[in-house]
Amino acid sequence: MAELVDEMEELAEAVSESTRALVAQSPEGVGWKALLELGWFELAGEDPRLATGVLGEELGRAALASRALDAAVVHALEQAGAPVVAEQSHAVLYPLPSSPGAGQLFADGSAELDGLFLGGVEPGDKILAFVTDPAGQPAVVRLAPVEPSEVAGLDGADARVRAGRLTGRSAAVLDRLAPEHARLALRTARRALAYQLVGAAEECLRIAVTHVSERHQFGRPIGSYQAVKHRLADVRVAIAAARSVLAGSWDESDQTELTVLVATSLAKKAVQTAVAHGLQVCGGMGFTEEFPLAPLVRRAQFFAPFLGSAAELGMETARLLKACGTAPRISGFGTP
Amino acid sequence: MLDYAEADEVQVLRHRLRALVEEHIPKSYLGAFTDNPNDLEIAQRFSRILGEQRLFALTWPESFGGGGASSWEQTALREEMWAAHEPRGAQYMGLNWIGPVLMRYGNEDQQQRHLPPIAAGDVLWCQGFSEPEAGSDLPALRTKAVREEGGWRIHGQKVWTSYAEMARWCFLLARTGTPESRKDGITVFLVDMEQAEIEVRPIPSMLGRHHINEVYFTGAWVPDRDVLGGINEGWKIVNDVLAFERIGIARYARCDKLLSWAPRALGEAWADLPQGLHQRWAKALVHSRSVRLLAYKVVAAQDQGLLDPADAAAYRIAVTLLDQEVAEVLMDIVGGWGLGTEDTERIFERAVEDHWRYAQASTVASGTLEMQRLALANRLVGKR
Repeated sequence: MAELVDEMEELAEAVSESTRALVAQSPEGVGWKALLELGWFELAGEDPRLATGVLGEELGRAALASRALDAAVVHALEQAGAPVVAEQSHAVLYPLPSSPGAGQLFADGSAELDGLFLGGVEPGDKILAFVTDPAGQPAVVRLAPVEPSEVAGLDGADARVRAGRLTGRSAAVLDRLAPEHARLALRTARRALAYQLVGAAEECLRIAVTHVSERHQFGRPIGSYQAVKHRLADVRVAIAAARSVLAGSWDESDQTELTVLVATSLAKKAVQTAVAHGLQVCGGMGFTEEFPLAPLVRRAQFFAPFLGSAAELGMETARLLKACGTAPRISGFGTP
Repeated sequence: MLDYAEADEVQVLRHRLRALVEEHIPKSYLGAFTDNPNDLEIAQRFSRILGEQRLFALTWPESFGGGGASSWEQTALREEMWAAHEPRGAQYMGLNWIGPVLMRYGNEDQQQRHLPPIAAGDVLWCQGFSEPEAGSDLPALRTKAVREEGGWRIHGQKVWTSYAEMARWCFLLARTGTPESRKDGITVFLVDMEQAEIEVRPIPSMLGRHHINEVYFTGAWVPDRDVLGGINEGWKIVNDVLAFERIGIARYARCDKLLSWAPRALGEAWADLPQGLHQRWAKALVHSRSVRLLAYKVVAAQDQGLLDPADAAAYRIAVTLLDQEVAEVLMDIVGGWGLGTEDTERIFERAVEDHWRYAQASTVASGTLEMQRLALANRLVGKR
């Protein structure tokens, strides 16, 4: 047993190292090809939790653009038998914040779109989109390819996320995925997002700890003051909460979306807490562009409403609980 | 029992100010310090219009170009201006505390030279306090003033200096005592910013252009007539300055305005918001109104010369935390469009995003929240 644990830790360390190296070499972002070359899809086949967790956290720390959410979605769909092939580069069109879908599907099979791509779109990418069907239900469809020139940049937002908006196109819908695959896609995207948020929160905390250890006032490091320490502790608590529920979300006995919903909501809370306290303890420095917090603050703001704000996720959780008529235990608290 | 029903003249003033804002300030105005130079021009023009109508230095004596009004009218002015994204630009610094401090500590020559231009809205001031190694620990400041025939030479560096690029004058703290003299070796200098021995470098930040700067002094000259108060007596002036500064901004007024605006701005989408968000919105509005009452208590006490510094600190803590609470609620209300849209049609969303950024800094600027809490708590437990 101990040997097995050791082996797993070694594997995790090796994966972390190669992922960190990839992130460090990719200032422009991590595309589909880079993920293929990294062997991410094979690893996800063997250990999806390790693959998703390590990649998400490292990308979150770096506040890079990537196709990590798209890759996680396509991989999960492929594993579940949906008609997608991870060997082929895919781009996923996500709903705009506060929208139920990235477009409306009509009875004649056409669709009117308004949604977001993350990490850019390349010629020849296969397109998946989260849309709303004629009955108002969420659905995932495959669309005909999109020309990168059809995708508009997103003004004023976090430029490093390389988000693009596709609007008003009456798209050719190739086919619609099964309802359980649509649910799986959303759950997978949210979980991949949650790992990025946890990574960003960890990085804010690391920056804050470094700053308060180095910055002296009144002849001692400001990290020696209780008021500062308490804030750092609160960030760590928020991150630990998100992590433990995220770990539980991989439990195969947990077939509801509940755990992923709660984990996503806690991850959003964690990064917002980390940003608020990080900015406070880093003082004026924290607000400057030369200081490493700025990209993380923008990323946290960009993702706060993405795939459901904390308030919307809370509503969804309540609806789900009401629908199952019982409150399932969130498992996995014992999982490291 | 305090009664805060507004007197007729205060109501009249509010209507007059709203009419002026309506006439001269575009709906899309979000403050003077954006990437659009027109915004700064708008603020400067508006300041002069207020100056001409004696609405600028409202409570100052008429001999200094003021309006001789009551502190309740002054409060109404602060509220109306802050709610309208401060169309006076960076002028509040001169008005709120540099002017009052000059009235208290300046000699007649200083008052005659400096107060009327502030009252006319003609001149901007900046504040040279913080240094790279002296933030919360302000008495550790190292910028040095060296005595020469007829005046002083300033050497050193200031940081986080708002509006330094456009300011004509700087209210500067420098060391005139020994390096170890801390609070007992600091003097206030009124420094003319237009000299070659001063270099201003903007610091790119989330707060946008013109907001914060580094200022380098390499032998800048201050004649004796521009030393404020006595040599080595600057610290007691600083304490007064900070007291004025901390209660000078009616942040609750913008909070109230943005919260009240939200249902109209969202239209039909308002009803679809999660119930929990409606509750947080209502709670924030209640907090905003209660902070307003706390502000009125402070104004009333200040008016009678009975202001307890603990109350001033409590107000400052409450109003900055309110700013942040409201920022979070509004960001959740606007959803994705708070993340920095440049679509000029989305005025509300842009105002919310702007408010969010500034609110983050409100517990850091002019004394961190931690220092305010310490000051208040030390007073409560009797430690000075």
